[in-house]
Amino acid sequence: MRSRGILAAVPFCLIAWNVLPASAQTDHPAFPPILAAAESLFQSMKAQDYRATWRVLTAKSRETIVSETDDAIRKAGNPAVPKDRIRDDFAAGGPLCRQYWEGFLRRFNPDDPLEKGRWEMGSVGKDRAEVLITHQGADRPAVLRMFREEGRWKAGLVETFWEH
Amino acid sequence: MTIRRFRSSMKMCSAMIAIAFFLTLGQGAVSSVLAADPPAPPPAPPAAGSSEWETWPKKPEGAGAAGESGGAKANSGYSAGTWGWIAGGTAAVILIGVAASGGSSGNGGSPPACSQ
Repeated sequence: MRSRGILAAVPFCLIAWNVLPASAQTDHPAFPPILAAAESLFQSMKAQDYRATWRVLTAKSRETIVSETDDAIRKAGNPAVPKDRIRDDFAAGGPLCRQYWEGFLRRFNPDDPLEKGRWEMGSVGKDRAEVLITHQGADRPAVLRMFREEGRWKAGLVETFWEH
Repeated sequence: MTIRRFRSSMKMCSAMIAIAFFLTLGQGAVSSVLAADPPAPPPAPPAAGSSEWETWPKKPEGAGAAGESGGAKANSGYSAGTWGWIAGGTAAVILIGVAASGGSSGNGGSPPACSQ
């Protein structure tokens, strides 16, 4: 009977964790750096400062982008580029990096979240956090997943948009 | 005999028409060259990799294609919101919780579908 009660309580706790944090936690000391990192992702895209965009991405996002670029280069029938070189090119803002982000920005407008989105803090943990960005007129927010890596908050672009 | 004569006159006629046609064309071209100002030089081809020379939208390849794919994912995820998937996950957890609690109160935890 007791286990039944505990099991019934688990879903309610999960719902509360997902729904309440934005309203319940308002003055968390981690909010400013998390929001700054999230905002800098879109600001650097808009400013076409792709090196800054690369720096604010999580390791997983960066590695996925490198792999997908590598696959796309092979598919196009171009001579293969070693992954290390692709990685270095993205870090240095080289030609592959520019091609990738120019393609990205043909489909995604960073002004949408920056100027038309409603930003709220979601749940905040020690190494993970969520930023809720609601598109104008949308019913539900996009939950930008943030991760603390090497002592800094990084944006999980792939973790947010690729894996849902 | 009359057919042969007719054929030869037809050949002559078509030859004359062809000559007149080419003369007209040639004269038009010559007179236009004489009358017109010196033509402007053709635009210089742009540097390699520039997009100014495109006459129709070119499908991106390589890194550009990967970027477009990523941008499309971000755009659709942002526009539609990713909250629904969290809600879906929560709903799945609720269902699992309900199923587990229902199962534990049954006879020995056997699934109801098999208790025939």
